Amino acid sequence: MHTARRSIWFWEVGSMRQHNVVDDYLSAVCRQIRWKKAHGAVAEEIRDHINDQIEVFIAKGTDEAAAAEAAIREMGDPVETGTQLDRVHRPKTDWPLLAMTALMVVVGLILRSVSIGDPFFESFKIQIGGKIHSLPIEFISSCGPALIALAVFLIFYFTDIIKKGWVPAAIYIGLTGVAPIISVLAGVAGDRVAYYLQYLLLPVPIAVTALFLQMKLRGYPGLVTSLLLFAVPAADALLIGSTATCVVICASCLAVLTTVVFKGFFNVHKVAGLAIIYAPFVATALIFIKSIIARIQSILVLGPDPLNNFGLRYSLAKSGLTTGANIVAGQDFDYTKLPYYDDTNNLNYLIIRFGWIIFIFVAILVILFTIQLIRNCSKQRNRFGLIVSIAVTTTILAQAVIYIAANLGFMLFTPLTLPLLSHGGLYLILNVAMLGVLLSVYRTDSLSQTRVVMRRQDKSEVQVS
Amino acid sequence: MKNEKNSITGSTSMLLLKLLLERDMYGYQMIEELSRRSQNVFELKAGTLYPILHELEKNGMVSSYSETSDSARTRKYYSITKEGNKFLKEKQDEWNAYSTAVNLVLGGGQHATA
Repeated sequence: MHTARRSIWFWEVGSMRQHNVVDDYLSAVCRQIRWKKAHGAVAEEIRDHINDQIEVFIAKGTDEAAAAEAAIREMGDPVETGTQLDRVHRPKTDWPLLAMTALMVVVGLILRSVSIGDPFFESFKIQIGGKIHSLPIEFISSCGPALIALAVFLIFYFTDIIKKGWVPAAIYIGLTGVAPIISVLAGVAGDRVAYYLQYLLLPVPIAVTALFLQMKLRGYPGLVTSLLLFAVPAADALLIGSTATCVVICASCLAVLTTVVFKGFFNVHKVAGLAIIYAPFVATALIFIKSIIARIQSILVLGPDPLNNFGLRYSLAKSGLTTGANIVAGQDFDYTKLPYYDDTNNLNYLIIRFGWIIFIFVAILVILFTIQLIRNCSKQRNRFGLIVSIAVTTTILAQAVIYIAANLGFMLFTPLTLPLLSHGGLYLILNVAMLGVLLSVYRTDSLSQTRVVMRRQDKSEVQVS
Repeated sequence: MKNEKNSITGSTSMLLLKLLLERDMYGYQMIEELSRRSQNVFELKAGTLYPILHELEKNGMVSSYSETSDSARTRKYYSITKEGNKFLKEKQDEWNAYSTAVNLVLGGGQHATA
């Protein structure tokens, strides 16, 4: 008994010493790797290797402590190894997309401040040294939210917050569950809540993709579960009356799930998988085919439509656009004639006021931005990164398409935003936050393991995540 | 000196990819297998192996996954990708051309012109 206890003590001391030698080596290696986030995975892999080597030495009869030291010697110079690893493990920065995002935000600030022709703002005049200056109030008041947007962007960019345990679930439940309940209960104030909610539901698809990862969805049950996860916010959107939000969420859903099926992430048969995904949408379209056709017809005619104000709104916009808007300089148009003057009509006003050249400018920006977003998606090597970037890209592009179409007179539903350009405040912050998540996931895509596999004793494989 | 190092890294990459062509392996296995097949000529140090493997993974030549065996030992396995396959084939062709040329030169003056 006494001997056994002593040998256990020796083992503990021995393994403590072994522990230190190995830890010292790993610290020396990691000290050379500047990107701290990479330390974990690298150290773990090399530690496993060292342990394998130690086992071999022990099997040959060496004692623990000597085995550890010999194994470390086998590894070579830790500084040399660490330096080479540092060269490989760097966070990836998508400079073109970052630059485009910054450019779009700045252009948005400028565009919003010049589009206002409302005489109300003329009252903001100040006198400096005998001269009267009108303050670009819109520009100045936009800068505050823009700075908050920058702060939000940096938070999402430098942290992995979207992957952190409770965050995706909290975002999902909070936005899709709690908020609509509040909206219904709020009654009179419900309109206001609904107005914000239509934008707040937009990031939900991103939370859903993070949930895919956490819930380790697989197979046909996984596919159906993910459809349901998307269906809830889409239904919420219809509940609060925002068809555009529903359409954006559905676009995101289709893009993400199509990718998931095509790339075999859920391990389902491609054709069957696609059938499951698209069936609900086709069915819904067929059920509502009559009203869809009626709505499309209504936007193709000039003049008030019997359904609601949409026809009147766009026809006025269209007449502003088609009667007299020149390429360079616009015409004097009575903005008060256009109902619901707000940021959702910004592009429209800009075209009327400054001519089609501004549309060409905006279109080029949007196209360049789209190209960068798609390039980013194609460069994501990691599964999670890929579906997050597709969710973000689709959400942004769908908004852009709806907005531009509406502002050109083809208003199928009330637009949301032209991301980064049309709106300031909360909506700018939302879109910027989504881009922050996209770029953060891109930055750390080398860190996420793609697969974890469990091998059973009978050599069969079970994919765990 | 840098060129020499690059060509050594390049050759080692080629050999590692060849090993992975046959089956997925983890780092320690690769060193053992390389040594065995080369009859102990190539004794690759782990400190050299991992930077090369990680670089291959970064460039999309290999992909990795964590595998847990029943004994609860977790290891990071590497498997070759399509791009890796292509790259290996290119490197093999280059090597064949190179070694043929070297052998021709060293093999004697059988190709002297009249």
